[in-house]
Amino acid sequence: MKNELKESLSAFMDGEATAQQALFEQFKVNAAMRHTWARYHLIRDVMKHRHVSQATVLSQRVAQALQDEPILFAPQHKRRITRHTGQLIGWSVAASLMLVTAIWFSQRTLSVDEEAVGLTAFNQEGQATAEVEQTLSDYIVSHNEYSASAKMQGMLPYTRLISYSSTQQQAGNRIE
Amino acid sequence: MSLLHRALAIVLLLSSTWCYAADTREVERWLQLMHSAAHTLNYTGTFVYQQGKQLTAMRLVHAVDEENGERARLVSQDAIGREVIHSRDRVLCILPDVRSVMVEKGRQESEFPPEFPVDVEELMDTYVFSLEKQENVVGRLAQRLYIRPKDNYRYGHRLWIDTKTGLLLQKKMYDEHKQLIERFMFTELQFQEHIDDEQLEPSITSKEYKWIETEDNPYPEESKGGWTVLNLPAGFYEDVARHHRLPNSKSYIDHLVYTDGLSTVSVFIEPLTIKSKKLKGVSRLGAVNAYGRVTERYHILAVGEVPQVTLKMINNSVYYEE
Repeated sequence: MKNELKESLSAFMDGEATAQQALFEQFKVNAAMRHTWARYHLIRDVMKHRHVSQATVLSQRVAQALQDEPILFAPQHKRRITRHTGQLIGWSVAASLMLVTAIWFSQRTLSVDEEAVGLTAFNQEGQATAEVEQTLSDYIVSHNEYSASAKMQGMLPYTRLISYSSTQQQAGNRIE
Repeated sequence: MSLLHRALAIVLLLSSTWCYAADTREVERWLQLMHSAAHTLNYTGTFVYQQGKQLTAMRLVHAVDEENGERARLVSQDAIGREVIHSRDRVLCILPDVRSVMVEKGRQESEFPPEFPVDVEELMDTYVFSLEKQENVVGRLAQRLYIRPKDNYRYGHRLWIDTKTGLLLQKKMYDEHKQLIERFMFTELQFQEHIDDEQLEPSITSKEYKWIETEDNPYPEESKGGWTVLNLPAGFYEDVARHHRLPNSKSYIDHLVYTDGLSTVSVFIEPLTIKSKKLKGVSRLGAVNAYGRVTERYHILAVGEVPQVTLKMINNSVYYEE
C-alpha cells in the first residue's frame, strides 16, 4: 500500500482526515488497506491496553500480556478528537469495517509502525541482496543448532529465523 | 581487635559465604528446572515474538516420547508462514517465501534428556544473577530471573520461569546499553499428556519445494582444521568445531562455536569463490548480530546473540595455525 494512503488512513483514524468518502471507496476495493486498517486498530488498542473486539482472541491476550510493559513504547501523542457529527458517523462506519477486517485479520503479523521505539532500531545503511540474505539464513540455522540458548530454551532461537522475511530485514550490509 | 569483634567478623564472613552459596544453588535450581522443561514436556502454545518494530505471533508444538525422542514444530502465524520442524536427527526450515526447505543435521546429544550444560558458579564470574519477584504470565505464576552481564561483551536476559513446570514463559533480552532488543512471551499455553503426530507434520508436501541439505564432513580425529580464535572475551571457550557444507554453498566451511554457557558465537570460515557474494560489515536479525570480513582467500563471518563489538573482536582475531 502506498505511503500516502497509509498516512491518510492514519490521519483518518485520528479524526483528522477530510476526504473520508474517498477512503471509504478505497475500503471497498483495496484488501491491503482493510488489512492495514485492522492492524492499526489492533496495535493502537494493544498499546492502550484495550480490547479490540471479540474477533481476535490473540489480540486480547497480547494486550493483556503487554499491560505491564510501559518501557517498550514511546508515549502516545495526545490526540484531539473533535465532536463533529460527520466524524462520529465516520467512526461508526469505520468501527464496522474494523470488526469485519479484524475477523479476517486474526492472527497475522503485527507491524508496529511508530510505537516500538524502545527497541533498538536496525541499521539503515543499506539493504542486503536476496542472495546474501539467504546465505545469512543458512548460517543462522547452523548457529542455532549449536547455540547455548537452544540447549537451554529449545526452539526459541528459531523464532528469529521464521519471523524474518526478505521484505522485513533491514541491514547495514556492504556486499563485495 | 577485641574477641567480640573477631567473633562478629567471623559470623559476618560465614553469613556472607552462606548467602552466596544459597543464591548460587537457587539460581542453578531454576535454570536446571527451565532446561529440563524445555526438553521433556508435552505442550502446545501460542506466543508473540517482538524484535524492533516487528511483532509476530507463532505457534509451538513440543512433544516427547520414547519412540521419537524430542520433537517440535514452530510455525509463524504471519502471511508467509515460515516453519521449523525439529526432530532428533534433523532440523527442517520451511521457507514458503523462497519455496525451499533447508535441512540441517540435528546436534546429536549423547543422552536424553540432555545434560544440564551450564556451570552457574563459572557464569557468576561474568554475569550477575538476581532472583526477582514472582509474576503472573499467561495465567501462571512465574519466577523472574535477571541475568546481567558484568561487561559489554554479552547481552542481558530477564527470564520468567513457570514455578510449576519450569517452562520459560517469557524472555527479554537487553543490549549492552540495557535497551530491550528482543522479547518473546506466551499468550496461550496447554500442557498435554500426548501430542498427535499430525500436529508435528509439515504443512507442505515435499514436491512443492526445493530441498537443500547440509552435508557434514567430520574432521579426522585429533584435527580441527587449524583455525582458531586468539582473542576471546572472558569466560568464552571453544565448544564445537565442524567442517560442513552449507545448504546453498558448493564449498565446505569451517564452523567454530564459542560459548560462555549462555551466549554463543559461531565463526564460519569459507574459501572465496569468484561468483560468491559475501557479507562484509555488520548485519542483524533480532538479537543475532553478524559481522563479516574478507581476506585474500577466505570469507570469515561471526554470528551470535552478542554485541557487535564482541563479534568484531572475535572475527578480527581468527587465525590459522600451520
